[in-house]
Amino acid sequence: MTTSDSARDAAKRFLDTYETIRLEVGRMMVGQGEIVEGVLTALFAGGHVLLEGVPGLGKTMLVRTLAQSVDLPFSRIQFTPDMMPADIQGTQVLVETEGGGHELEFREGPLVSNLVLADEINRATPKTQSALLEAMQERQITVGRRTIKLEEPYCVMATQNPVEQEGTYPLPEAQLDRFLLKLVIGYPQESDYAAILDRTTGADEVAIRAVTDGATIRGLRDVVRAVPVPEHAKQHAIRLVMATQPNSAYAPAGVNEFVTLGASPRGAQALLLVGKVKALLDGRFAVSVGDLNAAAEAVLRHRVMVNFHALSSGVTTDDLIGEIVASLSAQASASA
Amino acid sequence: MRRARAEQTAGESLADNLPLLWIVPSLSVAIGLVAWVANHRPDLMPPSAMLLLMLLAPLVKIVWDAAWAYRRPASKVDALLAFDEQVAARGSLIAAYEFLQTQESKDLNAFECATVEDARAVFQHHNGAELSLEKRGPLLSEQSAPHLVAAALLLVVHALLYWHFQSPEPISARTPVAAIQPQAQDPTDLTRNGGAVQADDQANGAQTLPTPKDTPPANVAPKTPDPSAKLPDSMLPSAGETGQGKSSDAQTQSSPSESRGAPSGQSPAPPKEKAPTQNAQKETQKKPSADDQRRAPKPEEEEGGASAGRGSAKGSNRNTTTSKWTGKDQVTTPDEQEIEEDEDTDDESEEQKNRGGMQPNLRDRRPPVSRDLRIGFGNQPNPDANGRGGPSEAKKSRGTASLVLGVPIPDRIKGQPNPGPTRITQERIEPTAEDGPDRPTEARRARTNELGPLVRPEPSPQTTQLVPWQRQLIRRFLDERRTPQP
Repeated sequence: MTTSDSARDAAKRFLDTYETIRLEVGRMMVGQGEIVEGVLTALFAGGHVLLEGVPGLGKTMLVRTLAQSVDLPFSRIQFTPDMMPADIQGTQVLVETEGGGHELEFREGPLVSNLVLADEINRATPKTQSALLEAMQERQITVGRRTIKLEEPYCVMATQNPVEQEGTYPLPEAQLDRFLLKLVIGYPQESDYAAILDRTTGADEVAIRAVTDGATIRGLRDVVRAVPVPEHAKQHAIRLVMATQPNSAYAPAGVNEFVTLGASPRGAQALLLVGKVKALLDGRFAVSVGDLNAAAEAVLRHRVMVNFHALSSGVTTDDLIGEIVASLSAQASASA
Repeated sequence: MRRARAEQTAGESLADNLPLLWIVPSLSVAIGLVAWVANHRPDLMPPSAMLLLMLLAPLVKIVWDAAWAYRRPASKVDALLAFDEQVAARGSLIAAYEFLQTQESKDLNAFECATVEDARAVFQHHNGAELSLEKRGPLLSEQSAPHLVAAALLLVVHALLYWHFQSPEPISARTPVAAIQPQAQDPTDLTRNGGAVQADDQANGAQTLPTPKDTPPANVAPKTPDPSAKLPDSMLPSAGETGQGKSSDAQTQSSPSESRGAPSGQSPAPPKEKAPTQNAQKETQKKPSADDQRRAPKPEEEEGGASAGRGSAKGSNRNTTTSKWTGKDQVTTPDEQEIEEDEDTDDESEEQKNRGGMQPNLRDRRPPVSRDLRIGFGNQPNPDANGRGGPSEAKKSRGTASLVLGVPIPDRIKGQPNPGPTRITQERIEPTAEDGPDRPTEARRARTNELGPLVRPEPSPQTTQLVPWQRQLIRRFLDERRTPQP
């Protein structure tokens, strides 16, 4: 077996596993192909996902189905305004010993798992939201003097509702930046409605079976990280991120006018990781500029903060990212 | 490849530099309009020359950009990117090239080898293919259309101005009439065609200037007996005293005085006798006639009646210094009482604030509580009892006074607290400077500038009075607020 054959074999394993999980999730989840692909991309890239959509679109069901199909410990946290950090991280409780005495025992919270569904994450107070920061970035939880290492693969999939903003606490920038992707779920297509109704209102119950395990996913994460990034693609990722920063060398006019805060270097890391997954899914062994452009919207939309002028003018971050991609493409073609 | 890049750059430059089409015709049109207003004749260039000059500005910029793009050499990376895009290799060619460039420094790993092999397969598949560099899109987009249309309009306006200034008529038409009046007066026309009006104009010192086309040039004086027959109504020369030939505006302006002085049904007099007659009429117009004198007071009466009818004097005639404290014996009509009650109800709290705090409301004033030492109120019921368990006849045990038998104290006194006469004293005290402690100024660390009174700008009518439109706005707003809702 030559050197390239090992890469081709690893890429084939990745594609097979990905396709198997996608088909298994598709047995329950009708339509929303881009969302399923985004969630699986984040899972294989080692990131977290923020799912945003109105109620009833299957956000929670998607995450639960994915957890069942990959056979990973799954916990769901329904965030409420009165939830405290100890409720999700864990705390010491007083238990009765066999001898009749009492002692303090640490009980882990639902954050200690592999797949964590943070349902309606913006309903919790910033205090509780901040408890997720360490878990999402360092993959560990510190409670008092106790530090708990979280087992890989660890993935937080949070959902939030964009319409019911009363009584909610918008996620801070530090937390938003920790999500690899922000996926906006739209309404299903007309052709999908019939299948949704059949599967959810019929007598037959769809049973999701585990098609892979955590060890496989950990191995495929290494495959993803092994995909090389050419220099021109790396430069393009850097320019994409810098173009989101107002008054930078690559920022188009729209960014200078409407953006308050641009993406951080963590955004460039996320671009490359998602680009690697997309390259493998496309059957290539190196990241291209097209992969980065395709990933830019989902990766950067929650890392760019627009100002009031943009809100009043109806300019969204997706519009600005589209303008950035077009601007950089024009610059590249002009220099070629 | 350099040529393709230059062509591409030229196409993009064309779209970007289309606003340059405006520059030259805009300047020319602006010069032409200014000259037309200033009654000069500028030397505008012909439209064909303007068209060439208009195209020259963007053309120079496009050629400059294309030449600049052509000067830059094409690299191998540029060629690979173009070929990658042409064969839809999705970036594998340029990636393989970069990996191979770095081969000396390190060995290729499995994925880099796979990328190079894929790129080699692409090259073998497209062996012999030529790099076709086509233009990437239309030269002119939809956004270019407004620039082209605007440039065309400016060119048309320039052409119209050019032809306007080329004809000799407009300049002579705008020449002041007083300067050419002696040459324009033909004795035959004077007697035959509206001579009375011209004599009138001479008597007025030629104050009334005819429209530009009313007075023809001296060398092209009209020979036809009635040249005004073909002119529009607004340009008809005056036909006499009745003002038939005047424009409608002129008739409107001069009709009131002329109709009183000289009725329209009066037969016209010979021209030579007309001038003194008209002068006399103007003198009589200056003096007020008997009818005018009788009519003179009428507007004042109407104005007074109108103001009375508007009712604006009713509230404003009231003595604003009249106090409630002294006006309790005043006999008021029910109508006034209603108005006063309404105003008092609305502004009760505000008046109390203006008087300096909580004050009794005299409309609810009642006789003071009976302090006689009889049990109860004699044979009379307690006026404060409301029959629902409110202030009752007997004082409930509360306070020292209730311990004294036979002293009934009602629970509550209706009305405002502390009823009775209140004296309000207002003092106007001018602020005086006080000597501060003998401390060095440097010790005041929080403030380093000089101490002293604040300089306030003097109130002026410009800052204190509302302009008319603001006054109208506030009036309309208050009227709308006071209009009862249906």
